[in-house]
Amino acid sequence: MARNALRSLARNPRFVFGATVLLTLVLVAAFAPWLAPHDPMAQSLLDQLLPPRWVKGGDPAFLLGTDTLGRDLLSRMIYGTRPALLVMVLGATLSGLAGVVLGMLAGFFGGWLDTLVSRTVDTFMAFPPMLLAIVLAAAMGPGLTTVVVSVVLIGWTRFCRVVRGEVLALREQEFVTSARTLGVSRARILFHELLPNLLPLVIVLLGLEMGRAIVVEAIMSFIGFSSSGLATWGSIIADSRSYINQAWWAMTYPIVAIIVAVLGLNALGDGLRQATDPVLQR
Amino acid sequence: MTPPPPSASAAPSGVESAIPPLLEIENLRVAIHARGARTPVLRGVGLRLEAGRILGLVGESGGGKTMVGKAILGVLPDSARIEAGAIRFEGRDLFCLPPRERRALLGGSIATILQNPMTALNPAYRIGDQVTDVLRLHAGLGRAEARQRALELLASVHIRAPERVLRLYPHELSGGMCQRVVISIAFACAPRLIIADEPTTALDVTVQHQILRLIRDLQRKTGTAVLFITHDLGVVAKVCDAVSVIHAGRILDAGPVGRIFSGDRHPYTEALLDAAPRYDRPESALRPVSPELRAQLERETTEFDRLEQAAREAARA
Amino acid sequence: MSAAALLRRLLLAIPTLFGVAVVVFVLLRVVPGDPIAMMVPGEATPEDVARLRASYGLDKSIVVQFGLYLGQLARGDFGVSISLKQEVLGLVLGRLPATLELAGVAITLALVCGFALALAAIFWRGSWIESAVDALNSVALAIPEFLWAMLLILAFAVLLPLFPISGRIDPMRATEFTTQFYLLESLARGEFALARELLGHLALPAASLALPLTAVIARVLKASLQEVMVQDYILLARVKGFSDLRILTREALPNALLPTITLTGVHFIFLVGGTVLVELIFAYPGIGNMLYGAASNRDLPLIQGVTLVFALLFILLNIAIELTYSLANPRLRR
Repeated sequence: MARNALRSLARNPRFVFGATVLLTLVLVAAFAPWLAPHDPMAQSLLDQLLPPRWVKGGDPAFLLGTDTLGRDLLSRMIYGTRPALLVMVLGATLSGLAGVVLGMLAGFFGGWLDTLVSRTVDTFMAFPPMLLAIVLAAAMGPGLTTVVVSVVLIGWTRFCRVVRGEVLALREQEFVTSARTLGVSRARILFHELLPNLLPLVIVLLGLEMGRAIVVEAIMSFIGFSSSGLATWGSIIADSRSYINQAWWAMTYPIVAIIVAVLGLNALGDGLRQATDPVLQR
Repeated sequence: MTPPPPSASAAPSGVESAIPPLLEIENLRVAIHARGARTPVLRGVGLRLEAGRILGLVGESGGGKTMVGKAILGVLPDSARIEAGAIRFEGRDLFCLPPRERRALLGGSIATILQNPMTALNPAYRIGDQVTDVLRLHAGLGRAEARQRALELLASVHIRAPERVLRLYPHELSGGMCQRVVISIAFACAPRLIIADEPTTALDVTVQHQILRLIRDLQRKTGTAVLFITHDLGVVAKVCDAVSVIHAGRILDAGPVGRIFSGDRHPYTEALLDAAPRYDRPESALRPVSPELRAQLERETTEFDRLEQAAREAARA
Repeated sequence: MSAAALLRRLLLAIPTLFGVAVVVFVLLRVVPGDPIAMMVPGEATPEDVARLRASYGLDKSIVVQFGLYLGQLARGDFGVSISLKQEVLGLVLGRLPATLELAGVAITLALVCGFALALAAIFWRGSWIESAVDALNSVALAIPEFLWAMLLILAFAVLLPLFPISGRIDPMRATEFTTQFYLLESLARGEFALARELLGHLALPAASLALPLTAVIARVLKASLQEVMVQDYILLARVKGFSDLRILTREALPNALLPTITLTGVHFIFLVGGTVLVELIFAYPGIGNMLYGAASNRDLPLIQGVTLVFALLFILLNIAIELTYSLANPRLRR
């Protein structure tokens, strides 16, 4: 059955697109020092605001051009995949972990635990996401840790709500009630019966959450609350704003990169759902 | 090889009318084109319905009878293609009409009664709005006149307290009452033809009887022709003047009700009659259509398709 | 929804507000970094600092502080801003109308465009129009307001300068407004030139906020309409002889609204939350924008005040959505 799943995955265009995007991100981040032609921090006052290579005035040494401090944009874009990937993977995973665990507990046990968790979810959802992030930044100071914590605090409610709803529905189904009558412990039911059924849904949510995490990171570095100095896509956008009239192209690279990344991650989740959902398999 | 089906005329037997029938379907071929495959649904269907008569179209589920109704009304699914044939209403080929004329024709002259009364009414609007809107569109009545006429219509389908019902929403009515409303809408503009697609199937047995009688009484009073689509031969016997039997998109048998029920009929019609549950003999087992007959019919259908395919390829060459 | 149900709903919101207050309060105080130290000039004595700290109540324990804060809130006192030295409530109420106008214009824009796209896709089903709408939607759904803002700035400020990219109104204008609802007031006074200029400034920020919501509305409404259009009552309407347009707008649309409201409701709230970032990007003087200065200065009362107001806005918006749903559902109307 796993082989069948793999084969149908390989044929699913969404999954292929998403997997390609993810793989590219990972490879670029991993091999950044070898791929990047320059040091992303190296400034060069002689080479300020150069246009991309194919435009008149461009320099083949700086394929995508340079910013106002003479730093190579291509190298900065390449190195920018690292913080993006870090926040994306760490943030989404932790957020998913917290949300799924709390959602499962709340949905399965009900009662005061459910009330407590649901009220907490309501409270967190009453915050505009960016407001939460900014308050956190005010509290914890800027840095990648702050960004990851923001992603977790913003995103866990989504997992929690959805998982809780699913568990509520699954709880009443026969395979659970029959397990209970057989005397299976509740912990076993949670892990062996409910969790596998939740997995496809959670995977889709993870894909979406990773996309959101990249955006949060970009916004945070745009505002200046992510780690300063590091080359991140958000900081490239922020920097390029100041010289947008002289070199408007600089902003397009990170924007396109983020859009493609988000589209890819969404497609990945979508493709995985289509491949693992037996109803949709035709 | 079975003989070609007799003429399915809902006119007194033996008399070929000089005036054109109200509804005439000739050699209608419809196929569904989905996922690259072509599935024939109607294989050369033909029938005639005279004005003021009731013609029953009988067959098993999937036999194509609902498709005939949809083709006449012009509401075939998007994937269906009309490949050949004509549907003539009062002599005019419906397929040749521009959309605006066709729309004027519908509602004014042709109406329908559907199978599921609970879904036939729009949940977002009150009953009154749904009865008066047709009146205002086709009969050009003003708001007050339309309301008055709506009250009369509801009374004619034996709805008590019509003023109250006018202000209700469909979800506040029972199935039987909804169907009465649907019937009143159908008869509202004095149509010349009504397509009734299994109007009693979704109702309780006791209500079925009332609704059938209602349709028959209204039909007699207004002189509307009815194409009564059903799988229940018992209903046909009670209400219709003539009957056509359809199987796999082909008309296998047709004729006045008297002749069919008195013995002169196709083996498939025979099998359908046999298969009906006998309420007077509840202990007897249901008798489905025999496998031999089924196989025979399947062979005939396949043969038909093969001949048609050959004809099409010859035409292309 | 009856008045009693409404009241009950509002009362249910109080624990949530309470929770919000707790979270913010705690988050801000579990902090290294002393707002007082940032405020005082270099030559202040330790006694001055201590006195200042005491005046803001920051010398007491967290629980006591929170208790005092709640007491103040009950009296309508949101405290005094550490950095701006004015009453928080006054500051926030002063900027709130700007944010409300921005959100209002954005929501209107999203509704109009979203509905138009969905209706067009269904009316011209199977044609290139439907495919175009679907494709646009798929891409648009992946783009958050932040990126829309950047793209819009690129497009309209740099490449094709049509709209201003900052502020609410041209600072050179000498016009007197009596309320902070500039747009509403200028429309009420009939000063359309002024209103047009205000709308010009609102155009890009409102569009950034509206576009994600537009994509969601278009997709959900289209799917909803598709489901409705195959229902029996639509078939009956066709047989009755109504035109395709009338069937779509008068027969189908009211039935497609309910599931749409359910599924898109939360995105309206996201839109209001998005004002925080969009106001920063476009230097639009609303309450979202106030947050940054407050955050950089660790201005605790101001941060708390803005947070509570946003939470209240969300709750009110939630209630408004539920009201709309019950109005649109004939089964609930009686």
